[in-house]
Amino acid sequence: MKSESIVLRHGKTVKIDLVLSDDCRVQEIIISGDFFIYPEESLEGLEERLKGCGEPACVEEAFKTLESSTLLGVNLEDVKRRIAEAVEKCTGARGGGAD
Amino acid sequence: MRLRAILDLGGRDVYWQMAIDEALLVLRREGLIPDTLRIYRFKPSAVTIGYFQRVRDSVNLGFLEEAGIPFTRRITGGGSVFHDENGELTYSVVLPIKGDLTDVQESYRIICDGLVKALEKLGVKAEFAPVNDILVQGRKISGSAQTRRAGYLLQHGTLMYATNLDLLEKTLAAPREKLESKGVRSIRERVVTLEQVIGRVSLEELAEALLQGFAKSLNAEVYVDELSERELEAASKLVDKYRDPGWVFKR
Repeated sequence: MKSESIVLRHGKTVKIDLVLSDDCRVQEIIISGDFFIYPEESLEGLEERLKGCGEPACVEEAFKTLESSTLLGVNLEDVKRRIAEAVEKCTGARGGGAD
Repeated sequence: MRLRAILDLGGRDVYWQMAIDEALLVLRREGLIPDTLRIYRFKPSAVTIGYFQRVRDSVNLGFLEEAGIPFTRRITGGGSVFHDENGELTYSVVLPIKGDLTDVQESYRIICDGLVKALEKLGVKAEFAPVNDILVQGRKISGSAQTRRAGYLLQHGTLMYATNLDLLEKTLAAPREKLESKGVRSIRERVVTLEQVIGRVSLEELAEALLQGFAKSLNAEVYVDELSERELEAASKLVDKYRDPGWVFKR
């Protein structure tokens, strides 16, 4: 299991608290900060969809949850990229360790 | 348009204040009340955090518990706020989302302009700083937050007229990254109170300026009213949510 906190500045502060399982899947994720998303509940929908993701394509798919949401103070592409990178890095390290 | 205004200056605790704001949105959405502006203060002093914030990242929990300062989570996004019983006035407004209020960022500008105009009335030059702040002399004097539900919006926000900045700094936790991005070292350096700019202003004078400011920014004819039994009853059904640790610590 691997925990990671990523802090981003997009005018507002966005913090990604991420726990990856031993097989590099998103086990827990909380995206928090002083930004605005309308409707608010869509962020919880995204967090739910991200759980279980073990590859960037799954992360990409999960972010479609927010396609019709309005965001202020948060750069969604950056958040998505950082989560996908964390998953990819974990998978790479795991693969490297096994060789 | 006609805008009902409630001057609720006696003060209530943070759980009730948040419950009343939510009740106004619910009742407005149900067509049971007209467009309404409320001006109020917190008693005792309290802290609210934004809907998306984590308690541990946004407040100094140890200090709040030690000092007995109540806190809760808002239904609106944005950042943590220290509501000083003797130094901060809050406004809330419920409106239908139409015309210029349809665009979220533009609606922040229009509603926040009520505060800018109120400050102008008091002889203070202020400016709206997107997303949701108002600055005086380059420092934050007000922050607002908005939620939208089924065609109606609730926006509430602060006006620091004499906030105790020592206490503010002790209660809130600001991420280092945020302070650095604003070019300051502490929360205290980033904010300003009306008292620092023009000296002490009475609550009544401030409330009157806000009424005039919102009348201008919303192009409204304002009439003063009181909270109704229906509104208080609706709030009484919501108040326990704001006391519930499950809500407060949900993130």
